[in-house]
Amino acid sequence: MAEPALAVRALEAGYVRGVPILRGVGFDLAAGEILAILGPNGAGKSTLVRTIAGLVPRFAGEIRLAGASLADLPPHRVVAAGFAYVPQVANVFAELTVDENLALGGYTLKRGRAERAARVFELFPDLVAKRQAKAGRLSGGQRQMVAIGRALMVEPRVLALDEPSAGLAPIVVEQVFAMIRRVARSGVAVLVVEQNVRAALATADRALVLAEGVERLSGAAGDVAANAAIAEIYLGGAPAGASP
Amino acid sequence: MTLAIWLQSILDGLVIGATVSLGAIGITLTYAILRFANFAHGEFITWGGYFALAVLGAVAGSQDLKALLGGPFEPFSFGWPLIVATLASILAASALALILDAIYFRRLRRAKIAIASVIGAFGAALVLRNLVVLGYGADPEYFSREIQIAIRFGPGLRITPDQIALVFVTALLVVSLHLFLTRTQMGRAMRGVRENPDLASVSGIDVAAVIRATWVIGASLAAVAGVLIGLTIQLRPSIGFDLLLPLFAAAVLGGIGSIYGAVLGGLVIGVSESLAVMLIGPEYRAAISFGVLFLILLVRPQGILGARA
Ligand SMILES: Nc1ncnc2c1ncn2[C@@H]1O[C@H](COP(=O)(O)OP(=O)(O)OP(=O)(O)O)[C@@H](O)[C@H]1O
Ligand SMILES: [Mg+2]
Repeated sequence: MAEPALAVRALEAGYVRGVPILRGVGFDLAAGEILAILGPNGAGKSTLVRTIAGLVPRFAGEIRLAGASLADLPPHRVVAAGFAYVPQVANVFAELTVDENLALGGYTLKRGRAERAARVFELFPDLVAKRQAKAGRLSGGQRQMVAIGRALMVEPRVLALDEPSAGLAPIVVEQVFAMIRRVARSGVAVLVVEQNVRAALATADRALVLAEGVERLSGAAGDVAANAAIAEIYLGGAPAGASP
Repeated sequence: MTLAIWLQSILDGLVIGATVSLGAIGITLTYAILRFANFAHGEFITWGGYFALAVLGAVAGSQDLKALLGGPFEPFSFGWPLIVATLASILAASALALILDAIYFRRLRRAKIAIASVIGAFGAALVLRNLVVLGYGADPEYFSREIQIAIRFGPGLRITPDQIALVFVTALLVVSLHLFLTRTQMGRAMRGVRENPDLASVSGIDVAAVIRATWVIGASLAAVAGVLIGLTIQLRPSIGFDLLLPLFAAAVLGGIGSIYGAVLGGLVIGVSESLAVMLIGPEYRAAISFGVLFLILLVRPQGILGARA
């Protein structure tokens, strides 16, 4: 079998040495595949993507992008290796224009920045009229498009999105998920952290459910959606079958 | 008092304010991008002036260099030797800033204890100033001993050619910095890091490189300010230290983090000091920056061009 686009093994990571937030998380993600990372508040979903991005210290385990280790690379080298990440909050440069946000997204590119930006505007035609507007002045949906567009500038192998639908109107959520599917179809491996479980499972190929930093469920999105345990994990982490 | 006296006082204030602006830009940049209030920034001005003085001394001591670089550009008091000295001073001050950050400031910044940073930087300033005293003594030094003839214009106003050069150089540097920050990738990266260092790093920006660029720009502008002060007034080991509070006042009243605020703040400080000297006497020069700062912050706590937090 081909090398997965992203492989994570037995990952332990956290903000303070000796206090791991993630305690042995692993998964494989193939090119063109969408993996939903689910779980209740504080489960460690953001910590997982931030660790891969190089923002949170890794204590143990492996992170490989197309076979090459990302572990312990500084964030700007992780991007250059092909992993792009859209944070959960503060995911655009609010004081910079849309054009400038995209230019910074393509910071590691030596050339071809204008062509990449043109492709982002094809994906998000609404942004064309806003190119000179400061990102902080845009609507929530447009801001999310800038955030995703910024990440796509490097044409990543793996795109990680942390709660891309949070705070958006339902119709915009639908657009965001449609865009995610389109990006995946172009061969990008997509990791999407979501609170919107239904929408995420409808879009993803596979899902990984975390609680308290450990994997509680994983598998094909349809199987996870059909698994009765998922509701209990969200309701308080009691093991499947323990509740009346 | 006649209009001419008022105008002359404002003009003198703008000339002084221009050098304050150059220094305040460095303070506002290091604060905005590194979250570090650099109380040693004034020493980059002092060291910048003395680096240039050292190069000028070397040129004056060598017949070959003197012949190569030639005399002053009339009507200015300076020529190629000062330009070469300024470029050398920019390099030296940048190196000084990078070394200080690598061995000392970086640790202060990492500790994230504001008071330790302030006192630590203040201590560095004292050491740097005393090193200058050790090398050059405490007496004033001059780039040139010649007295410049002022140009008269308008309703009896006077300005020297060197002062005109000072204003021109300052304006050129501010415009260049503006173009750098808005038109180049490194400039945009600096603005990105200022707003959100994590997002900048996951966009592929090497934040450490941006921090180095910030030091180089701040120290370079300070070095030029030191040269301009040496050119139009005199050099003393305490010039940077004496400017420190006006520099911070300018950066804060303009709106900390704003380049244009720092420029405006520098000019406001320069003009108000100059007017205060004329109206109430030189002994209140230092207090007036803070009077102005106080009044402006009462009305606009974020500074003239500062964004509300
Ligand atoms: N910067 C930080 N420093 C220390 N601890 C943190 C930090 N960020 C998160 N944590 C802790 O790590 C744990 C996991 O947080 P994380 O943000 O990864 O959860 P999450 O699954 O993304 O939650 P949410 O759905 O609320 O976004 C929590 O206990 C949180 O308190
Ligand atoms: Mg989160």
